[in-house]
Amino acid sequence: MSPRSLGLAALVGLVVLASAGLHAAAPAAPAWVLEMAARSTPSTVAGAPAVVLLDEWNHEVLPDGRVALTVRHVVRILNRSGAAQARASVFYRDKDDSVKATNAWLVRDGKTVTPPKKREWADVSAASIGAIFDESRKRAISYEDVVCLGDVFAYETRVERRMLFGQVQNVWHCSLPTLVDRFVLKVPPGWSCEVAARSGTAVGLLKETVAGQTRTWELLDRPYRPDEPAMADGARLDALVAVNLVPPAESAGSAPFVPRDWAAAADWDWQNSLGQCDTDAALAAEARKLTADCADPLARIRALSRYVQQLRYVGVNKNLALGHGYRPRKATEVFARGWGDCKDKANLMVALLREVGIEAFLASAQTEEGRLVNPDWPSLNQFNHAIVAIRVDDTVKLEPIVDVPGAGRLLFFDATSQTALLGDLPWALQGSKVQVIFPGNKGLTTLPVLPIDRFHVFETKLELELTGAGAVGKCTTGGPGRAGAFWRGFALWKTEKEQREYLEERIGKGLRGAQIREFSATDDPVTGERRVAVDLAVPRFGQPMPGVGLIVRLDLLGRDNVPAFPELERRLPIGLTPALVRETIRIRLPEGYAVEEMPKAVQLQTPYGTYSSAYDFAERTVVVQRTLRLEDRTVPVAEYAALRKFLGDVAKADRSSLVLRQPPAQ
Amino acid sequence: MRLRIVPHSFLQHGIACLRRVATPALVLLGLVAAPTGAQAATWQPVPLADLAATESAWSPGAAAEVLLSSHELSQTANGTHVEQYFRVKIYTQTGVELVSKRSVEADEKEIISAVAGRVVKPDGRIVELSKEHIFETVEKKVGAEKRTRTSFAFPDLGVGDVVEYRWKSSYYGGVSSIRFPIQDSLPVRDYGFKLGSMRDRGSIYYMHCPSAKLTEFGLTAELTAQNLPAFEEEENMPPAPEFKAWLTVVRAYGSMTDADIWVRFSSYYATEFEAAVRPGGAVKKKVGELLGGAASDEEKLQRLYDFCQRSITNYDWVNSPEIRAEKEKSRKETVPSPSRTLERGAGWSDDINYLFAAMARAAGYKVREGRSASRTEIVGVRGANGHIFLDRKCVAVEVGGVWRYFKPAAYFVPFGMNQWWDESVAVLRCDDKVLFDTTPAAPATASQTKRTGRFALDAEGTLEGDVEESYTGHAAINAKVVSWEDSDEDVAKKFREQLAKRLPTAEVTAIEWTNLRTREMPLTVKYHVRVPGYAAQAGSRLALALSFFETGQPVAFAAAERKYPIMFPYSYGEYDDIRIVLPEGYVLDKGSAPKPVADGANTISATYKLGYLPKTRTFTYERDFTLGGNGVTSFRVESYPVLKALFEKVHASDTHSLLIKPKASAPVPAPAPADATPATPVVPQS
Repeated sequence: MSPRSLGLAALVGLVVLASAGLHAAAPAAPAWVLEMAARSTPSTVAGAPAVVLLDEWNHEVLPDGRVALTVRHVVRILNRSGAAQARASVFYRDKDDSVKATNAWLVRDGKTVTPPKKREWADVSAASIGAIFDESRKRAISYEDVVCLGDVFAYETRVERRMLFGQVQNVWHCSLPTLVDRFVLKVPPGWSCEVAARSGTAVGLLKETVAGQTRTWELLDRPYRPDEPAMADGARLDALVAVNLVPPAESAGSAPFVPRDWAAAADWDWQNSLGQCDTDAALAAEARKLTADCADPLARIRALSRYVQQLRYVGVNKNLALGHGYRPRKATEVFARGWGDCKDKANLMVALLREVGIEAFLASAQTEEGRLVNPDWPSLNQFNHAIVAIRVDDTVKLEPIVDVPGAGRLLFFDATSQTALLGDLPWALQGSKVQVIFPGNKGLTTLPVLPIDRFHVFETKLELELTGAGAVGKCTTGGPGRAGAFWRGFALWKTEKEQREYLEERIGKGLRGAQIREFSATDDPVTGERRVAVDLAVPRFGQPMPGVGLIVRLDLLGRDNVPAFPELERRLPIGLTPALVRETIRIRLPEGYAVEEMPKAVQLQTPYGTYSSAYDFAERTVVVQRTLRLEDRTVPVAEYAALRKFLGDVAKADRSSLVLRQPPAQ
Repeated sequence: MRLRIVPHSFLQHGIACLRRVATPALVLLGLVAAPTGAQAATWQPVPLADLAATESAWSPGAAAEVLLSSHELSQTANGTHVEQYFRVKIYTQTGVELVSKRSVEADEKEIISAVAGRVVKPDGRIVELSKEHIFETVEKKVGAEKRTRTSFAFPDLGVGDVVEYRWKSSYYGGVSSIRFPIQDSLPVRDYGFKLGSMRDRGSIYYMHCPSAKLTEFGLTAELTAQNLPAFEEEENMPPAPEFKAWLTVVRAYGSMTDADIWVRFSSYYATEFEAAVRPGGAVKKKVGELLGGAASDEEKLQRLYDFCQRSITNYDWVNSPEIRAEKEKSRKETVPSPSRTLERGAGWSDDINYLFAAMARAAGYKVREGRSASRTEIVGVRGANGHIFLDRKCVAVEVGGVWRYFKPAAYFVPFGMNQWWDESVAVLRCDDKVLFDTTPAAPATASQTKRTGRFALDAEGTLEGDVEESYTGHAAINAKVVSWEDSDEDVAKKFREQLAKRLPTAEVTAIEWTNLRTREMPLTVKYHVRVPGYAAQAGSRLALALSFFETGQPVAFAAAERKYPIMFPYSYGEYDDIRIVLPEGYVLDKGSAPKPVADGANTISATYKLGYLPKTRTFTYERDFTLGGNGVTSFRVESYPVLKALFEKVHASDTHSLLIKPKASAPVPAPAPADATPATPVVPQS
């Protein structure tokens, strides 16, 4: 056949193919996918929406110090809810990282299935919350609409990225049952891996193998552990391995930085932020203006803290591979713009404080499971937040103060939070480990868990006067610490109508049909107490009982602080959030009314908390006092039934009623 | 060019979607992003009074106020352009948060240009939005589709500031209709719309804005509106577009009148439908087989309906390996064919509806296409240009002189019903005339919930027993649709979580569903439940709420005031049958019954029947509730106080408690079987 004929035939072939309207068949799934897809589903995974047959994260350190991350994932769909697992994504940083490969396959009965229409990986912004620009992106694909029960969905992605730090970590903490969960690390000749940390409840089950420059850690047959209410930090943490990548001596200068200890990490962070705290005339003038009426250092700190907290949170995440994710913008710039992210705001606070003669430092923190920051692995990768550590003397008597070796007595403060005032800390930071950034700081600092009875108090007082069929009265709720922060945020982020609706709903849960007449709030910036007062009317209060009188329910105030556990079985430990809930209800009765039956007082004492209720009647006023205390505690699974019983007993005790006798008709 | 305002009240037209005239995917001529930043923008000075204001003069309490917003629509040889402008005054710190960041999204056919902004401080200082404050991100890119976001955060923003920002959206080609939101979550003091020169022959306004003023200037026009309050939705209200001001510009069709346009669209849909529902030989033969022996119209249509719904696989709902290949091949079919759907035994929703229509025609009935809008989107569509909202299709069949409307592709909807959002809506019966009907609403008897509970109470107030709940009609349909993509485990988990919301200590086991995945009715769920602390302790007595199924439910319509009408999705009824055996040693302490509730027009009614079987210490409780017993489910706002009071009474009756107390003296005999003794009526209702 002549070349011309061949060409013509090819052209015809192309036309035929095009006119069939079919896209090319998907390439066959590679052998490793088919091999995993052939594995059977163990009977132990019953109830799970899907089973992960393989989850492999393969880090290959390249000679130039970049790392190539190849992820292989194979999952079998077991029921309807599992279709959502037929998705893949790979994260990368725009401009710095290079996505080298993205492939996905669908396997059914051992054969690759061509998806109905050509599937393309979407390139999607992965901006963090509050960011108006973020280099973080992801490529994503979904087969959710075409996958059937029993199908196997698999994907492989490869991205090359510049490492800021020569450190990698792998965490085994899957929620789906997983047959093979693997972490592979390969370094070039001359490089070595230092396992800096190993932890987790199943770390002893990790199979580790070394073959030349490649190390593999593998955990097999992990169970199904879906999300449950109030999961403790690290509830699913099976294992964690953190590794330092040590280059050969001749490459040490150009290789990514590896902090060998916390002092090195602090030094790096310090150098990275150097100069960002410098001020100018405008900033200095603002600092002086804000503190002009302040009599002492604490007052100055407080004034500046309010200013910085009110600054808007706006993130612009650029040049992350160069370390700008850890470097705050210049204080002068943040001041001029009037917005910044956590490190920008913390740095601005440091700059303002220095202008008024108070020394302060940045501190790196972690807002998610900060108590699990591993002190054995010096790494800035463990942090995602920046707060401020302010040097104070003995005259300052606030709770979040810790003596930090090398820095002195430091008061910790979160400039990002708009609701947790100076002297308080957001709950997510309490008990967490932070690193104060100053040269040579050798260790981490554990932030205190603030006392329950002063920072986790939720106080509600309800005073009602019965008026015939209904009641009128006032409800005041709030408190210092977390309660104050909650109500502060409520006022900040909800319109007045939304606030009213929320209060109506919240109060209406106990006081059916309650109508809010007015509400107002008081806020003490020194104690951090915020209270909301609501004037209300309840058209129908109590249930008339002919021949008896009136039944009045006393579960009037709701139990928003108490988690609900509807499931009888539990798989994961529970993390209780401390709370001290104090309620006082006063109901003034009309003349002639008497209390016929009063609920019995209850006292409960358990390792998880305590509860007490007391009832009194004097001078025509019924007084109900209840106190519920929940401890800051992790409850193991074995004690789940006991915890449920305690909370059930609390609910039972709350659900009490009064029986009132009305005066006889004249 | 003619322009027209159609002033609206409740129950008139609704949403338009942005639809552009299709253009070749070629070069976007002449559309180049203009430079961003202050240099390209000119601003009008902000009045001193606005700078000095500390709260809105006409919307007190507002966190911020849109002092001025405008849209300007124009067309040039290059395409269609929309210029948008906003001026916002900030009164509180909440307002700062609300206004702080702005972003504009655009798809691949659109170009955003001339982005500019500034902050005017109360003292008159101006802070410009510069390039370093403006960021562009590719939100998503897949193939040729791309969506970008242009974001900016105003510098140095504080309480008392006035913020101004503007941008221009441009796209190649014309539009058939384009909608502009006028009312916002912030109050709007002044709104202006300008219709500039339009390349397309004439444009017609279609607008919903009570206080608007329109001025025509030959080929252009301006519309203004003032003092539009912040729009906030309320529970159980008609769709927001019925009340939230917006404006639509619709392309004109030469010198056609509104009535002409309606006829044109009606005949166009009718012609398309005719082509789609011609019954071929195979369809006629099948109809013959299906209708053998059927006597009445009802029976005939039901056979055809059930066949189409149950015997033809619906590709929109079913996805299995067996049908995958055919399903995907079918996506390329551009011409509907009932014969092909029949032969294949499968099709998409439209195919199934067309097959039904073809079969009904083959059976000798007159059929037409019905077009309507969803009741969740808009209610009134009969005015000028209402056709742009009619995106839902059904099959109209004339039966005994009455037109009825069917959609067998609605997966769970039984014959004789439609989904609730397709009920009580205006439907255009497409023909060479414009003929409107209103689709009927299923009566309350069609959507019945029956709940049965057999419980025992212990001396500590713990209630335990077995429950069966069954649902028909809309309640069943909704539950099946919502659960369709959930596994059985997830359905059970959500069920327990839902119950825990009103009974936090409830322990639910042995959940068993029947007909959850099928089309059969009723849908039932059985379960065992134990609720510690169900009965409230009152000294030596226990206060027992008999209505297990209503305990813990919030009262509806808690708000003291109401702004918008009330609309319930559908009429329904509930019947509860509960028995509770008291603990040994306990007796009823002077019982009373909950009061019945009725409005006299059978709109809302609740009746209760209590009994007590002393030998078995068993309470019997029956509750019969109906909403929309007379077919009425929408109410004017003036009805709110009455409606609120009715629901409060129902709630009070639903949560009615009885007192039980320990028996003082002789031991209690062993209980006889539950039904051995007729119930003793409780003290007559007070």
